Amino acid sequence: MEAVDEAVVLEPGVNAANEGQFLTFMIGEQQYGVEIKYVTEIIGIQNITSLPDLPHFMKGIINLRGKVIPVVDVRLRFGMEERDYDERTCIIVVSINDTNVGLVVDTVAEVMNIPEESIEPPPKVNSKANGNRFIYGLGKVQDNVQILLDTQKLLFDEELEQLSAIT
Amino acid sequence: MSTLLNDDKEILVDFINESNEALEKTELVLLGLEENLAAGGDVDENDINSIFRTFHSIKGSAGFIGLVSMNQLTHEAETLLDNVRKGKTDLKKAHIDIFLEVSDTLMMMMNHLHENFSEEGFPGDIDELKERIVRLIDDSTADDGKTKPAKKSEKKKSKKTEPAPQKTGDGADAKVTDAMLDALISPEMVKQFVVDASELLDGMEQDLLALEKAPDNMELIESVFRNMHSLKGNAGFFNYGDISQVCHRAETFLDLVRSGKALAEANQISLILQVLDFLRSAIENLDAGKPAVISGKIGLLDLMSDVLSLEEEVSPSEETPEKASAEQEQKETNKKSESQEQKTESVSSKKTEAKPQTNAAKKSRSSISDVIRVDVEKLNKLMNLVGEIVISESMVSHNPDLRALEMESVEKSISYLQKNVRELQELATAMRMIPLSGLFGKMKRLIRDLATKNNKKIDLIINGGETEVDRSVLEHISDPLVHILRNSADHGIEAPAAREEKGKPGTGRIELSAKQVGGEIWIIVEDDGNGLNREKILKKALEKGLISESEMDMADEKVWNLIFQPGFSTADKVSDISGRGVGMDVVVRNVEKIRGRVEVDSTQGQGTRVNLRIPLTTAIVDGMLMRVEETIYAIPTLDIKESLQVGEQNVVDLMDGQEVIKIRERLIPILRLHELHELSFKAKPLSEGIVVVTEKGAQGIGFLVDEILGQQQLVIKPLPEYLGNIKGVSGCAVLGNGEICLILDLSNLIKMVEVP
Repeated sequence: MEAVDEAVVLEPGVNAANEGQFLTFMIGEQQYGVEIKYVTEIIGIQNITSLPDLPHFMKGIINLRGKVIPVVDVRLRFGMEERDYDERTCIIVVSINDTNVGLVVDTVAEVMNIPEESIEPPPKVNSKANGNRFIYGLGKVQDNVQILLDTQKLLFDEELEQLSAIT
Repeated sequence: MSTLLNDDKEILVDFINESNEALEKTELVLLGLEENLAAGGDVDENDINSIFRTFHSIKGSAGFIGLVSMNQLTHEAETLLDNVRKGKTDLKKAHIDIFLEVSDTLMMMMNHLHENFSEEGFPGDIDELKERIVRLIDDSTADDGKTKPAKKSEKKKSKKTEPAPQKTGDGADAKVTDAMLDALISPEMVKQFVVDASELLDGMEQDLLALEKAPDNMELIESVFRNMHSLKGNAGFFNYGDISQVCHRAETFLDLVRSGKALAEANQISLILQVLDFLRSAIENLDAGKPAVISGKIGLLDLMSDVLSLEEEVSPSEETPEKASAEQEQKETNKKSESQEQKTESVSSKKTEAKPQTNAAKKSRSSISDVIRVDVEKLNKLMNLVGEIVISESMVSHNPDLRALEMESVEKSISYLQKNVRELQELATAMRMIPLSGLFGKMKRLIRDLATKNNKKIDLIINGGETEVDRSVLEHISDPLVHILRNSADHGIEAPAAREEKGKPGTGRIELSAKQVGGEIWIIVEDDGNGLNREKILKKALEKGLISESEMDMADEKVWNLIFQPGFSTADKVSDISGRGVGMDVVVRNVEKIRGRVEVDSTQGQGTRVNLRIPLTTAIVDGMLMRVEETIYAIPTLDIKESLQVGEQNVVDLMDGQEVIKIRERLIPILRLHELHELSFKAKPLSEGIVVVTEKGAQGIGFLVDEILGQQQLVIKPLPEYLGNIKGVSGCAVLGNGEICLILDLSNLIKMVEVP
């Protein structure tokens, strides 16, 4: 197991100074962001134990210093094509309502400030991508557009509820 | 007269313990107030209220127990405090001084009480202290002295109506300070009330059940009366009208019995037991955040009055034996107070004589114990943390780099660490242990109700209630026990006439016992009823297709296990097989959740014995690790029968694709974890892997794995809730090398294979 043990541990909890701060990451060529207040740490990709009967985007569980946490592949969650993990692949550990979940992303980019006024609501037109419903807003930073994600929806969208209703 | 009457050592010690605790807190509050005052700060109303409560409850209990001087002292202190509380006077240094003095005196009195069990002979000058308080009261109310005397006389009056001093006082207080009381009651207090009330109700239920068997046992009546009274008092303080009304009515009746004016008859005890149920549901409401309303209160009160009015006309002939016994007891206690040295001994010996059924829990309460209440949450966290430490310990001790060092000092340190971690784990586990007596006690009521309902006579004999089990175990075996006992009482034990025909005593006997055997707790329910009917069970199983014709001569043990089959029981709810099997699969499922197992043994016509075997700890299991592709699975070692390599000639492929292997004339279905968990679609011949055969289920089940990795202690962790329920996996564990293994849920898996 070639686990990256060096973990970036961020200040947990909601902090006023965190407002408007986003952790951005790459999936393919596109940059996405999640609110930093939900992020507890970033770790390198590690051995994921797969489990039966899970939707394909739920990769399984990992051992985070003795804690067992589930891992979601954001790529698959968005309905994109699967891609092999490499040394740049990261797991962003987010925590909402005491639920810890790891998000597998292609690579982590940076932490950036995006003021409220630079964030536009998501486009009303629903295109082919089913990922649209996870969008919280579009952040404009210089010439780039960051797709800011609604972490809550990303983790707890109805699809999951349906899943637990079936099982 | 301040000698103790029928109140035994136990109550008094409880009172002393509680009071000392409260007084210690009060002292701190007072000191805080003093500091605050000196700094010119404002007086916190909550502080005053908390002191008031302490004095008030000591006053109430002291009055009830018959500690006159303590009652009077706290009464005066309370009056003075009340003035401060209502803003009639400002809190001064002198007040705090005197409150501290009162508090000190009370503590000394408690010590005196604990040594002598009597107020008499207390060296302190209480009267002088009282006088000084009164002087302060007079000073403080000099400005508006008009209201004072009226209030005082009212309080005095209320005191005369012993033995319920705080009742009338509370009523008056409640009116004046209604709003204030509401503000005063914090959610924690309600929680505490709920806990206390449940304890009181449990206690009463036990005593009433015992009372049914021995209606003239004064001690039991006294005990019920006291508990009812405390509950009433508490409810009154919280302003729960319904509860206190109902309690009051019940108390009045109990008082009649207590004073020998009435005899508790079976139907009346039943009524009070019902009343307890009403009270319990009100308290459950309260716990759920709803108001403490008793639905059908008016009807209940009427019903109670009916019983009551009847009681007042009881013929004098009936009361004499009781009065005599009451008097005798009084004499006894008086004698005791004379001879000081013998006292402690005689009190305890009297107790054991009078109450042979006194359980261990009660006994342990009767000495001052250093017990603290701890939030369950905290204990759970501690337990989790200990689990983590066990894992980290195994990470260290299995670390390949450290091992490679091969240094003696490292080895030594590691073994020292291992020893300490093990001890820590044992200690943490022990902290969560609770005696079974509480749960067992509840079963008494169940059996009693069932017996009454079915016109049977059943003796429930309880043994080993002091055996301790983990909290989570207690939760999980509560339902199974109810099922098993209900089966025994409903279907096992025959009607008295039928029993006598068979030459058995008319009264059936169910024995509920617990003991520790090796690493397990055995909870055994044994009845002398009709037993299981082998033929009928087999016939049924055949109908259901659970067994084949050729298996009709299977061993008894296996026949009994058939009743645990799901589907078997549901079909039998209509019941032609002596009813057994109702909900038995629920029993098994619950017990398996805590990794226990159920054993049944029965002799037709002689009785049935059900044994719940539950491992001591539920958090840590001895597991066999096995690899399937990249995934590591674990099965509790206890459940594994054998593991073997199968030759191709022993494999039978059934029509539906289900593979079965033949081991020593037994057919065992095979479950491929590869397929179940979609690990791989490469169909691999059975002969290339290893088959692990488990013992669960009627015929067992074999798992095909790639490799067996060995045996290890596993700290079980639940799977993240986020994932929902996962088929066939009950939990996971982190291994020493950081990898995760999945713990298989055998009974669930077996169901998947076995259900046609």
